[in-house]
Amino acid sequence: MGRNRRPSKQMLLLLEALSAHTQQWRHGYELMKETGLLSGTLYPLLIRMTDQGLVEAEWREPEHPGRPARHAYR
Amino acid sequence: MTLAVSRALLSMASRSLGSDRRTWAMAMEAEFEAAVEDRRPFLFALGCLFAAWREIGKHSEGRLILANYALALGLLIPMAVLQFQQAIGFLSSAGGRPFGIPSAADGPNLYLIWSQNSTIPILVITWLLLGIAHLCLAWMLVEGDWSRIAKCGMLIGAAMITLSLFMGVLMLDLSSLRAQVAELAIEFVAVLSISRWHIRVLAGASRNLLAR
Repeated sequence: MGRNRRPSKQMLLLLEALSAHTQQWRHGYELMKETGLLSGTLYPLLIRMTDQGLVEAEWREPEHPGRPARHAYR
Repeated sequence: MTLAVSRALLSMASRSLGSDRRTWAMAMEAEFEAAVEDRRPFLFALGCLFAAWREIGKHSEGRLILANYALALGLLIPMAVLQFQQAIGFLSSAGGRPFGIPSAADGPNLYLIWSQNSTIPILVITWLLLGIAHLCLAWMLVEGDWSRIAKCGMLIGAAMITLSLFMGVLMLDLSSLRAQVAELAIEFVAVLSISRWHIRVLAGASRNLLAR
């Protein structure tokens, strides 16, 4: 049985950043720079929110050839 | 140097996430390149490691990894230290009174002292071997290399039997072995339990993969 708890300040920051452009795919590092969250905070949030269906995630082709595909979220 | 350390931290994070969260491990690795370009790889990698450790207890594979580390650090390594101490103990007592012999009225039995002292190198080597085998066992447990764990276990068993024989027949004193045998029995049960847990987790992971 999951706990019902209020979203944290960090989750609200992330939701705000994602909802500013709902149709735009954003990479993890961009979200880090925009929200000021560190990777240790951002990724657990993204994992939880993706599991709960609040965030979509998909692999996007890299902007520069020869780079690996990056995970993007919206 | 910083980049190498950062890559090592990220690699630890990826391994800590397990097969359930493989996508997220790859996502972190892909974003690492952006962090390198931004000249902040260390902070990024450290954060990913914390994120991975926060996830580790939430899935069965993570709990198994934690149990492996707990067994290695909490039991196997202390056992290795104990065995090295036993080896050092034998070295420092070489040349003294015969072991296990109550004080004889006629004075020390020189033949007995000679024969017992001559076994000390073998006993020291066997204790050292046991200590090294325990360290190897701890490493292999953490790596999940079960074929080598079985071989290591057999080596430890053989060494204990050798020690028991030598100490029982020549030293006439098995007191230092009693606690070791009890601890080995606990170790055996713990490693066996973890191996069965490992099989269940693997079976579960295979079922999930097939379902996808």
